This record gives sequence, C-alpha cells and structure tokens, in this order.
Amino acid sequence: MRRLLWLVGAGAAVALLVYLTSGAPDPDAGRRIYREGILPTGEPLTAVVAGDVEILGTQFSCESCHGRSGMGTSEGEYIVPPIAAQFLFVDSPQPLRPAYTAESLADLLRDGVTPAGRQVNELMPRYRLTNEDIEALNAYLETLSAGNSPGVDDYAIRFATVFSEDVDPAEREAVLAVTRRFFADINSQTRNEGERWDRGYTPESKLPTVYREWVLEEWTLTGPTDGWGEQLEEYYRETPVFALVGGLSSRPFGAVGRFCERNEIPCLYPGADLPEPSPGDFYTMYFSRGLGLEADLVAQDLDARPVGKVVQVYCAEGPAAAAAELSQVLVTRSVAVENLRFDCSMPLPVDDLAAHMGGGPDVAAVLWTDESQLDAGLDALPPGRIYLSSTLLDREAPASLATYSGTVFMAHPFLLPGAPDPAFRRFKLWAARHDLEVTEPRLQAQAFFSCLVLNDAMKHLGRFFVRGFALDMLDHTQGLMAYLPIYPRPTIGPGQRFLSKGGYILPVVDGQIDTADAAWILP
Amino acid sequence: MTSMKFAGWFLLAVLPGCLLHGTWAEASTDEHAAHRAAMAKTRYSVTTGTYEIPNVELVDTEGQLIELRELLAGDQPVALNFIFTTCTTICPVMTATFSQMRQALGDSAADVELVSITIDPEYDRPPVLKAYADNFGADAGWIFLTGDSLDIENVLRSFDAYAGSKMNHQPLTLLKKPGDANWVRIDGLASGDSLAQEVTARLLDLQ
Repeated sequence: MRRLLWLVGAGAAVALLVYLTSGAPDPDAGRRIYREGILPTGEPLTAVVAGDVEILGTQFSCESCHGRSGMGTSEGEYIVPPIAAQFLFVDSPQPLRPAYTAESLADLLRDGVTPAGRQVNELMPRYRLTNEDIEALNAYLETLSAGNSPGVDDYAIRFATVFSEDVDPAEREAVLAVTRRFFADINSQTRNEGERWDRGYTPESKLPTVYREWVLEEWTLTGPTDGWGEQLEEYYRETPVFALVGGLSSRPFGAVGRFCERNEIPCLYPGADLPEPSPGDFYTMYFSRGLGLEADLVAQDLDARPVGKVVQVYCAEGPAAAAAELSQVLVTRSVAVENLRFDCSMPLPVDDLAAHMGGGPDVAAVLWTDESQLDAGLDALPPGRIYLSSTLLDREAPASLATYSGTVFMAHPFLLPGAPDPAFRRFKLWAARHDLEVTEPRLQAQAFFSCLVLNDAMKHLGRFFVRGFALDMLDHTQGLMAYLPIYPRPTIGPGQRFLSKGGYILPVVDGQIDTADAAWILP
Repeated sequence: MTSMKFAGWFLLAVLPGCLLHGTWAEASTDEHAAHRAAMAKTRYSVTTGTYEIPNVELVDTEGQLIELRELLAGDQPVALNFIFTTCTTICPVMTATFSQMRQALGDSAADVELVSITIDPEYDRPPVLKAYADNFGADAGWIFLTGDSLDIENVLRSFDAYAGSKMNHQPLTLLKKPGDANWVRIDGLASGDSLAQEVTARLLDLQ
C-alpha cells in the first residue's frame, strides 16, 4: 500500500515536472550549438573574437576549440580549458571561481567574464546568444562528459580487437601476438598498483588510483558483412569495451565503422584493407584509405595518361568494392570500364582477360589480385598497361609479370621500397626484445602502432576515462607520427581520420619496382 | 530568483572594476566598455627581416600552379600568414583577422594581396582549402595556397616559421611592400584593427 502511494506520488511529481518543463531547454539544440555552431533558428552563431574580429559559429563552434568531449586542449602557447560538466558546474580552485550557473554561463559566453569576475583570454569568442540558446547549451553541457565511458570499472579497462574470419590464421596469430604482448607489457609495468585501491581501513582513506588493468577481448566476425553489425552489438552487450584496437580484415570495413559511430567507441587503427567511411565520422582512425586510395591513385594516373578502355579483374569482396569505387570514378570521366569477377577458388581467367583487353596497346587492366592468383600465363596478355595493388601483393612486384611485353605499374600507398623506415626498425627491436618473430612485417608493425597510440591516449586521460577525450587528444598527436611505420607523410588533426593520404604509381621494370621517378600523388 | 542571481553576479563581476576605474557613468550607458577594452589588448611584436624565398610552385584553390617567388615579388603589397583548415584556436582567429582587416582597410583593401599558405598540405587539398576560404568570405584579392609537403616545409623554414609539428605553430603575419627586400614580421595575434593599422602605416604609406 505504501509502495502504491509512493508510486502515485512519484507519478504526480513526474507529471508536474513535465508540465513545468514543457518549455524546457533542449539538450539536442544545445549539442548543435556546441558541435556545429548552429542556432535553433538554423542560423550560425555570431561572435567577436580577439578584440574586434567578427566571426560565425560555423568558423568557431565550441567543439572546434574545446573538443568533442569538452575536455579542452592546447595549441602552441594557447591553452583551452575544459568545460565538461564535471569541471564547469563545480567550484574551481585553479583558476579560482565558483561553479557556473546558467546565469554566469551567460556572462561568460556573452562578455567573457567568469563567475570570479575575471576576463578570459580574447581567443574565447564573445557570442551573441539569446537566453533560450544559453539554456539549451547549458542543458547540453550538463550532460557533456559527465562521467566515465563504458568499458571501465575501478580495476580494469577493456579493449577489443576485431578480426574477420576470412583473415589467414597465420596473419591473425602474428598480429594477435603483438597485441597480447603489448598488453602484457603494460600490465607488468606496475607493481602492486592494482591493490592500491584497497589500501586503508576506511572508505575515506582509500586512495583513488588511475591505474587500470588492460584487458583484451578478441572478437571474431563471421559470415557476410551485413551481419557484422549485429554480431558486434552482441559482443558489446556481453562485454562493454572502452575502445577497439588493431585487428584485421580484408573485407569491406563499413559495418565495424558504423558500429563504432553508433556506440561512440573509438576504433584505433584497424588493419582494414578497405575502410568505408561516411562523411562526419568521428570515432574510427585509419592508417589510410587502403584499396580505396589505390583505386584513386590509378584513376589519377589514368587521367594523366588516358586509355581507350579499362578492364578490372577481381574475386574477393574487398577488391570487388575497390573495383566498384574505381568504376564509379572512371564512368564519371567517360572512360569505358569492363569488370571481370572470377571465383577465388579458381585461377585467374587469363584467356578471358586477354579477350577483354583485345589486341591494342590502348587498354589498361587493373588486377586486384594477390600474388598466388598471378602465377601463370600472364605473358600471353596483349601488350597494354597493367596496374597492380601493392596492398594485395604485400608491397612486392610479382615474378610472373617479369617478362610481360606491356607496361606494369603498382599503386603503392606505402613508403617507397628501400626508403628508411626508423619506426619499423623500432618495432623490430621491440619484437626482438620480446622474442616475437616478425612474419608479417606490415601487419604486425601496424598492430604495434595501434597499441602505441592507445597507450598514448590512455596516458593523456589520467583519471578521466572519457572516450571523446581520448580522440580529442589523439587529434593533436602529430608528434606520434614519428612512430608510424610503413606509411609516408602522415598528418593528423581534428576531423582527420586517415593518417597517410597519398601514394605512388610505380613502374615495374625487369620484375623490380622502379622508384627512380617516383612522384607523390594526393588524389 | 534567477534574475536576482544574475544581477548579483553581474554586480560582483562589474562593480569592483567600475569603481576602481571610476567609469560608472560610462558603464551605465555602455556596460561592456571595460570588457571590450580588456579584449582589445592583444599582444604582438613587430620586427623586420629579409628572407630567401625558395623557388617552389604551390597550388591555389582552383588547382592552378603558382610560382611563389613571382607571386610575392608582384607590384602589390603582400600580407602573408600560415594556417591549416583543421587547426583549432589560433588559425580560425588569424583567418578571421585577415577577413576583418580587409573590412577595416576599406577601399585600400584592393591594393593589398593576401596570401594564406596551409602548413598541412596533405589534408588541405585545393577543394578543402576552397571550402575553408569560402567559409571566411575570401574574395579575389586573397589567395590560399597548398602544394607538396616538402615544398611547404621549405617555405616555412625560409620564413623562420617552421615549428616541427604543425601543432606547435605560432601566430605570424608577414608584410612586404612591392620592390622592398625587407619583410615586416608580426609575431603574435594582432586584432583586425591593429593589423589594419600596421598595414596602413607600413605597407600603404598612409596614416
């Protein structure tokens, strides 16, 4: 009975609350102001910055300086303070100020005055906002990075590494060995830290600790890629993880990327042959666009040296998607394309390909195949131009085309063969010190880098286990790029999700990749 | 209640400053005058120097090749800065400052060539740079340049503006008169009006 009364009372309270807040501030509108600098009216915010410079919110959203997480950042000598809920709405000892309220937030946003009466730096725009705008923004800020993200408890932080079942078992084991070893290393570097939490006799005397044991979950995806999303959700329901790290797939990677966006999970440098990004994606960081980038390199080369017809050959799903990307580009440029898909369990249909290429030299063939599919009979092809995929061929020119009468090129989105790669040497030393055999140089070095990045992000987080913060921090780790093996000219920055953005088209001469005239191409 | 609180904070924040400076009369008509005065105090230093411009071809937002030496040796005064489109904090300010300076210069603006060079050319390809330029209302007298990352690094080094990582880059504006070997170097963030004054005094020989 008492319970029933309580329920009725609670119901009435909720009804009253709903009534009172019918004009309640809208955190979604606040999020739009925060992230995009767009007001509920659809107009951009307006503001003044650096004393007298008129700007728009689309040039200066809150996110562009304070980050997706609101945890702040720094650039050069400028420090952008954190404005996430756990900082803004509590008293601050340094700089000294009382907790913000909706009213004092208005003073800050409009006039740059903190609740302590201090003027903030002139880099903080003074925005023109209505009371409703500020209430909406206030409502959003109250939710922003308010607590730890899923995947963390008081003792452990969990990460998952994702493999699709098509990956060669030897490659999977080689990559996993690196990741497991890195995790073991991290966990062994602290002595008794895990017990620190339980020291002391009263709850007050127990020390908070930033230490968490790293736990690696290994997730395997099976069947067609359109079932991957559900499998990932299932794994995630079972064991929430803070982030995904490394992993391997030669299939199109869109389902994993979408899973990470949906659940706001950082996905750090998967070994994905074919990322399928959507505009505005935030949570997945890739080495490069992989086969998609190779397709663009070929398209660019065909622009510079046009042919009458292009024939593409492929069997597996990743290459098929890359071929589709290239077809799409070529069709818009009115280049004739013929696509030839064969069964992966059969040899490359050389006769069929020869027939498609016809007799003339005015034709190019793109062979989206690995080394094992290129073993015989290619000399019989007509003397056109052949493009090969350096990703699929493991960065080596195939021996089977050494005596081909036409010209052969490799789309190569990696460091030039023979170029110094100190980051790779560093990985090899690490592997040697840990008694790990390097059997898959590129894939293992990639896995090592993704672990390095994860470690860097975790160090930045301190005691704030907030996913958005991890990514905001990583957006500024240009310095980490010195540790990136295999990939040339990496750059990173807010919104950038592919480290290496270009590549080379390299001729194969006498069975060797020729780098003499290598030119960097940014499609 | 809320307005009471609001007024309380307002008094706490503004009153001491007003009393100290004896500007209550002003503050009552323009209550944010003190704030604006504080905001207008931007710090920057002005020096001069000569720089050996490397012989490189850069690319504008339309994909056209531009000889940098030729561009900078033209018969118009030049104002140059370094930005990148995914830069937070200072780049948008510097770009907005250029934009503001153009307005402050009024009719003289057409006499000055504005050049913004990206220090992240791998990402800032011509279309990306164009969208950025459009967002800041850049017009014909303002050219945005990208190019090969090695060439851009050379340019940065030649202007003593290379900071290693682009994340460390400092606000810098360079001004040059036509036919003059000397550059005026403005380190730090100048406001649009200050920059317009510098340009007027040092580039256009006007006061």
